[in-house]
Amino acid sequence: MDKIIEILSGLKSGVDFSAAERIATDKILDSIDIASLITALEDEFDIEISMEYMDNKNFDSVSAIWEMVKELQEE
Amino acid sequence: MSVASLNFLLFVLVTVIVFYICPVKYRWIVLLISSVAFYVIAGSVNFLPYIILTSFAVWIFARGIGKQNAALAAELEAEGLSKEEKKALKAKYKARSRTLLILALVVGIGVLCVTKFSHYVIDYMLTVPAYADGAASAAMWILVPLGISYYTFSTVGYILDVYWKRCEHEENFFRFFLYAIYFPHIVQGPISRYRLLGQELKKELRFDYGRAAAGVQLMIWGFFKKLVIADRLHIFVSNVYDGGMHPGSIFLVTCFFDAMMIYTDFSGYMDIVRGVSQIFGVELEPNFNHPFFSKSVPEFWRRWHMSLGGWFKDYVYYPLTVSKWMKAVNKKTGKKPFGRFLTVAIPVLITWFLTGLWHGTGLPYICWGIYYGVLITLSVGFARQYEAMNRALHINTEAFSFRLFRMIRIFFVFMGGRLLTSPGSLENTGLVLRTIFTDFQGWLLFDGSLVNYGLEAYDLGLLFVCFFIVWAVSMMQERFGVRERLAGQNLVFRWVIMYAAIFAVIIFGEYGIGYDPAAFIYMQY
Repeated sequence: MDKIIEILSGLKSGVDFSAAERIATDKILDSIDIASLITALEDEFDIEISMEYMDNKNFDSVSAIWEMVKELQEE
Repeated sequence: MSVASLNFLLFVLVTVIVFYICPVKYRWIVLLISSVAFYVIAGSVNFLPYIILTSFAVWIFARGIGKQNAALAAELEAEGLSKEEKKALKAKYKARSRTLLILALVVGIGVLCVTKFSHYVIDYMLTVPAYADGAASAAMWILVPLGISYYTFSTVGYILDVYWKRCEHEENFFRFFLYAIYFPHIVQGPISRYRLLGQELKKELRFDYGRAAAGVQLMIWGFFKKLVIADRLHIFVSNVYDGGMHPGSIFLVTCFFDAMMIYTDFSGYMDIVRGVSQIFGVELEPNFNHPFFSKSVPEFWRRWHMSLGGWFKDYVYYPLTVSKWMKAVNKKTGKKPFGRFLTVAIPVLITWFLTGLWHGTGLPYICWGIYYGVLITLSVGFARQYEAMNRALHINTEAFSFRLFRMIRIFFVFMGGRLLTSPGSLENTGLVLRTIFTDFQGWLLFDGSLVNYGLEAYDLGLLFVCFFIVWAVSMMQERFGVRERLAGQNLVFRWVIMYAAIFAVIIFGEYGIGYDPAAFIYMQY
């Protein structure tokens, strides 16, 4: 989880990502930030994010991103 | 039948009466029948086979994909499956679903491409004597159905969502067909997602006075923007662009009027149809969020024609970003600064090239797409450098003066984009630009010359008052819900405002002998 917060903070400063719950829905990160986030997550956790996971609900909070990462690692 | 016409208001009135007379469980059928009737009246009965065929194809293939998804889920629930067995099952079902998806896309996008691009082939064939007769008869057969770009995108979005398991497939074709042809969104959008509009249309649609009143208010605001502002500006803009050479100052005013025209025309249309839909209790997605208050070009496109931007983001930009070849590019170059820039630039430029093609097939539209693609790439790719520059120059980015500067900058960027397409050709665009810089004649703005382009001094004065009203209302909307505040006022005050707005549209609307409202600009797409 800490690694995810670190990646998110690298994309956008001044946001308390640990408390945020609508990161994608409220466009705290825009589509280009999300694309950079995907690249960073894939590199960091050795996963492949496919279109099935490209839904706002998977990117709305740190815990949602972590759940997605865990699910992809198990696949 | 234009949405900005008395006939449309009568059509809506009759539909509303029948809709609320019918029992709740049949109300969606009233909407379906009225939508088919609207499609025939507003377009042509000849258009119906296109939309029925493409909607049915998408529906049946999406149903097939939905069944594959369900079968896969059932098989995966079996106990004792190894990781490899699960992978093999997923691959088997994915291959079947992909085949169905490709078939649906061939039909849906194929019809769109044939209707949009075939005139190029026909125009060419007409110049070749051996093919001219065949081409002439082919030209008679190829129609461009009303709203084809909008319903194709809506239905393609639906099947992709089913394929990516973002929504369940619809079992009832007529329910799906209502989503495709729903009359408030068929002509110019918004390009609605099935998981939102489809669910809205499935709700129990009961009468709600507050919501209906808010819908009527939104319609009146839309009519005001269209009939009082956009149609008045249309006279000036078309007189200048259709009338040969003019001094640079006149061209500059025309660029400003043209930008205001497209905004009030398109957002006015959206307000009318969203208001109509609210009367039925069906919420359509917003398409505008005060775009000229944006701080940057990417933000502008999150606030302007939001449903189209959202569609391209979800169904073009993201698939490109997570595609295997993009990941390969990223792996090769991603660690270097230029590589990181490329991984942003390539999907953005491709997406915007396609957005340009969606708007039109000529060279000006391709340039328009590249123009925004390059601006967005530069804005995002060098965001950190801009921030560092602002810090180094001690610029307070939250100060009113800087926010005003950004608003003016966005408006000029938008005028630049319009200048690529509005004059009709890139040669004309060059001519307009050259004249602005070499033959400005600024005094013409103050010596009464502006009244030579179809508008009286009264019209010009009225326009500037209206611009102020639109700006003031937009400012209020940025801070609070204007309609919600209005709903909290006393009855007498609310009705005074409503009547004043209605009379403003009736008195100041751009009518005349043989009045015919200018067609909504985004209908052509």
